Amino acid sequence: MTLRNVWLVAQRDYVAYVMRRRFWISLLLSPAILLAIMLVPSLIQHFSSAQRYAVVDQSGWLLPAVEQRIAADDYSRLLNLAARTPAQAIHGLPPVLAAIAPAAAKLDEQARKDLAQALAAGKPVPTSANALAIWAHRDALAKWYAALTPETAASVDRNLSIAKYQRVKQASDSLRDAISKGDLYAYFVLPSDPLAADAQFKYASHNLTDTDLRDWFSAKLSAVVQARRAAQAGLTTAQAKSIGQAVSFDNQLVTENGAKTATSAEQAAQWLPVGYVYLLFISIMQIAQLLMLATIEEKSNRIAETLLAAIEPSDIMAGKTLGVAGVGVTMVGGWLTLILGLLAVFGSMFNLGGFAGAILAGISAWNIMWFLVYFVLGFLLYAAVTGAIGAAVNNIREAQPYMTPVMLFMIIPLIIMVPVAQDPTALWARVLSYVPPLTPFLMMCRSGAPPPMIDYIATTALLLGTVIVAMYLSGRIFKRGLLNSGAPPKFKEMLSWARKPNAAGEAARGAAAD
Amino acid sequence: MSNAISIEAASKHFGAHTAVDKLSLNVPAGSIYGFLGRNGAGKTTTLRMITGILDPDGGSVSVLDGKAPRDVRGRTGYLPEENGLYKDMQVLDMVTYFGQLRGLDRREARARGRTRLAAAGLEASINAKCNTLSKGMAQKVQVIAAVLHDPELVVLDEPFSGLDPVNSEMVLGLIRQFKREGRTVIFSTHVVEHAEQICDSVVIIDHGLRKVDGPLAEVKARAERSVIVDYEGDAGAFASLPGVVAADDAGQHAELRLAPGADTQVILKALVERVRIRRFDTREATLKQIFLATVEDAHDAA
Repeated sequence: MTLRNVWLVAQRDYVAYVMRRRFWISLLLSPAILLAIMLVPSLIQHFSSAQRYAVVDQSGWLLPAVEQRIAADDYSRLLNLAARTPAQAIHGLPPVLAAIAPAAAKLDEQARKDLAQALAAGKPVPTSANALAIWAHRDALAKWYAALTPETAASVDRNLSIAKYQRVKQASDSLRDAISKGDLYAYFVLPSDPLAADAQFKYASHNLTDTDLRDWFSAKLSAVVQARRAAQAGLTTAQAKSIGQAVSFDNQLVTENGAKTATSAEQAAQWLPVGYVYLLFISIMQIAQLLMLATIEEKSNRIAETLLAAIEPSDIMAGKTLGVAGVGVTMVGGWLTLILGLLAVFGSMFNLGGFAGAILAGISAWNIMWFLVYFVLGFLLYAAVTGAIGAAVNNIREAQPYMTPVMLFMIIPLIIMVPVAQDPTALWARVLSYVPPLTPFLMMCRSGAPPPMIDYIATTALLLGTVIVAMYLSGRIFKRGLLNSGAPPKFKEMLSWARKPNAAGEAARGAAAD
Repeated sequence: MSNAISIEAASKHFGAHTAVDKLSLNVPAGSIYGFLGRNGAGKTTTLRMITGILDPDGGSVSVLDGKAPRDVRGRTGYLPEENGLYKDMQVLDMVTYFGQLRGLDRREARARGRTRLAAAGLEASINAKCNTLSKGMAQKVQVIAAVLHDPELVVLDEPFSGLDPVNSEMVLGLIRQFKREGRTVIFSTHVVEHAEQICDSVVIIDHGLRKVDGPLAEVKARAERSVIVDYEGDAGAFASLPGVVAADDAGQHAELRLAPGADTQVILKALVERVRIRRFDTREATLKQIFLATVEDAHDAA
């Protein structure tokens, strides 16, 4: 093998692919589609206007109680926002929030929640100095809150109730008209005795499939009604809450350093291996197929024989593999840059920051290193197969029967990745990770609960050995295949090429070339 | 004269099929050598062995001072029969690439490519994509690419295939030019007229076997010639004349087929003694006749 020739072939193939317009289109399109899938629901919510609803309160007391609860939740949200805004960004808040931000930052979460309820109810007057400092702004705050429109609310925090749902006053006899005209999205009817066991609440809308408004309002309503019912039964709110409380689990993440309560980031990181497998699958499949297409192109353009006369087949194969690997690395690198870059830009805009942050925090140098090792070895293994197929056939149609079993094999990791990620220590997962074509995917999939070192070393050694044998055999098929211009070989014939590269059963084909 | 190519008892089998059967031949350095044979005769397989793409199963193939073909890739150039170009590549880039693969450095390959494309009238197409070229232009580009590194031995497999008469003439001109530049040119063809126009030596192979080979004049001399005779009088049996194999006598006009090496002077002298000669016309066999006779004989024998 001559390095200069390998480099020349690699360089030509790399440049030829990367200079094509369709390469850049597909490079940009793939993450764009992925991002669209992720962001479209947020975008739709972002640009859709608030749902307008009306409430007919036959009880006379329930609606004000629910409104007070909604206000308490909104105040709580606003206090949190003010408290969490960094000092240098406070000037970006509405003045009334900017004024309370320093004091809010000094309260803990529970204190902010209590204060929010007090602000909404107008009592009791708080006792702590910081809460009192905020309390002093309560009239200004209430005035500002009451004046919020869906648009102004959304510019402060998209999750404020008024940003999504806007209550309007509407005469009860014109509700149906308003809905059919589109002025109103829905209306609620609260019965005269809402605390009765058989109380009938009514919800009417022209769209019963979108249940966001109904679910949101009913949650607030239920909380108020449950509290009143508890009071009637002589229970405190806390007692009632504890009766209705479902059991909850503390998620413990067991590591070599002992057990500790898992943070949401750590829980997200448990799913990171699935991400690795996906990325590994997409990148390996894409570029292994690219190698096949590049080889077929060389054959169909009738270039192969000219190359064979000038340099060794092993130079051609190594050069093409290297060139295509370069294309793959450019593509995957481009995707990662685009996805992470766009997540960073749009993530904050659509409040994906926490999710993206948790994912990013779970990525470790150790896993990245193994990802790269398995990417290279996995690509070389599949490249050996697709390169040989590309050399043996004359067009994509002829390649199909050979590619089908390869593709079926490659999707095995996709099928089993969720069970493996859920139970990375299962014996069957460990056994399957010793099957070389599955090794890269399964080892990355098991990385959530890091496999023992012996598994890393043994599976990688086995994979490396397989890659060397596969490349050697593929090189022989490659050499024979490139000169084959007749019907594609049968599978058995291809294997015989691998055994005896120069004298296999070509029969009529060798003669047909003369 | 030294040999540019020496093949000794080379054989090549593909499974049960024998493509080349113990073929031996020598190609003199500096000559134009034609490789003639029907489709499937073993021409391409032999050329592939000469260029080192295939190894013989038996015997030996050596080129340029007894070297193994693979060891002198920088000194040989090859234009395969079904040769192609990278469709998306620019003409100069492609020519440069092939020059580099044959050992030229990039700068030199580019400079030569530019000069030679211009000399071939392709200056305007230097930056064009290869898929915009006409068939004749593409063939010129391919030949330029195949010999950019100035090889001593140029191997062309069916270089006239699919070309119109104008482009065929262009390729013939290039082959003559290679000879003037001192290169050895070996090319295969089944258009025998092309070989007859420019070859110094030829070989006819059939079913992987060498049937006829040598300098063109010798091959022709060895072939069966004929004599047309117009006469008056009673000639008797022409076939009894010395060196005459067969005769087709129409009374006053006869066509005599001569044995290889027969002396026409002796025949003329014998005829003058028998009849009055009005016309005595010696006809040499054309290469096409030799070719057809050779492969038909082989076919009959098979």
